[in-house]
Amino acid sequence: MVFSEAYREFAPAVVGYLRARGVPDPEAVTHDVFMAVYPRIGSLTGGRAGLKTLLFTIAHARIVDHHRRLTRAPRLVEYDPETEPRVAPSSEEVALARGTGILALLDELSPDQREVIALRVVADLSLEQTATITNRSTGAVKQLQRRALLALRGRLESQPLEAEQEGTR
Amino acid sequence: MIADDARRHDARRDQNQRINALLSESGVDTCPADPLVSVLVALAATGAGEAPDPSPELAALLETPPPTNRAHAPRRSGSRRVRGVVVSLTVTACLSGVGVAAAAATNEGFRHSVGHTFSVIVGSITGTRHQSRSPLGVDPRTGGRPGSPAVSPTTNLPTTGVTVVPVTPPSRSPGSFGSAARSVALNPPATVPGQGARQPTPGAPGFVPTTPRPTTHPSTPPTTAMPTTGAPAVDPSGAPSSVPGGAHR
Repeated sequence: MVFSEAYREFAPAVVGYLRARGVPDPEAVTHDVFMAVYPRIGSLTGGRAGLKTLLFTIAHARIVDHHRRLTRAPRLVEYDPETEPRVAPSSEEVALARGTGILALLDELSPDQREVIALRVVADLSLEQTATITNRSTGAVKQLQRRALLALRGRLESQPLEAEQEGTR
Repeated sequence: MIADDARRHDARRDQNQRINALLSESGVDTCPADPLVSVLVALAATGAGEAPDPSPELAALLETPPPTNRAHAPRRSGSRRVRGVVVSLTVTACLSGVGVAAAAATNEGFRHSVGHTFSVIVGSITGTRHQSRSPLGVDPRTGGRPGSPAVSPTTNLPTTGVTVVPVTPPSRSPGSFGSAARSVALNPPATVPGQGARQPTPGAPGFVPTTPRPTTHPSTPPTTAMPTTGAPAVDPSGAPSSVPGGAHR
């Protein structure tokens, strides 16, 4: 597969995966991931599935690095919209708020469950690919995704209106 | 435009099928109006769309063809093979060294022969082997070992009227020296077995001043020396011994 073609096909999923995992600048990290893949793309085996697995393996490693850096970096103050003097939201804020509501559901999950759901749903990876990237067995991945889906359902049952609004947007 | 709508519709249908397969795979029962399905579809949509604009570095890479690293793979495997061979040879050499050390520790003859071989090699390299033996007339093939029938100190030494006492190496028993050992019996006080290298005190009856070691004659290893006297030859007149071998101890 040509590198530019791979970028057009897989970059959106990589951005979505990184965003779902809470990486602050997902586009820049996506560029980093593809630049790391570039030297290996000539010797890559496995075709399209192999390239996809390699891409999300590198992205997963970048996320792990990010969370390790967070443990060493000083804690940042959370953005408070009540203190924001601007009242008219921009189109970017609207777009970001749309994704943030859905992604906020993932915060209810444990880190392992969030990782599995992001890889299975956002990155559209198979059970085996997810098991390879997370270094788990397929049975463990299946169990994690089952618990995550049940937890999401419980969260939606407790707050149905918000969830339906987010889902229908 | 119509083609784009049809493509989006197909993509949404594939996405719904994928979500339903995920839910059935996990054993989660759903109905068509389940909010969980709509949430998962919306979540999957965050991974779709247009690719972000590449950075300048990535844009440059997107323009160039990717490198082919296939040429590097055989070289890497070759270096691993060479590394394995080197490691195996090193381990073999270490084990051989341990075996040789064990043999040398248990067998005195082996140690003796190795020392002899080493001295022959060193002597042939430095060129001192023949120089040290030629005055004594020692046959290089025999190595001048004690007890060799070809070596007779009493006949080869250029001394007259001097009783030659062969050296008795500390590790050798006197009985194993053959004819040379019998000559020791001529002067028992000078050849105490196991104390052949001991020098008598000055003024004692057995004392003979030793000849200074010639600078032109490097020392000969003990294993190849002829049966020279560790206790030097006794000169009744008190003159220094002319036994060249005495200086090689």
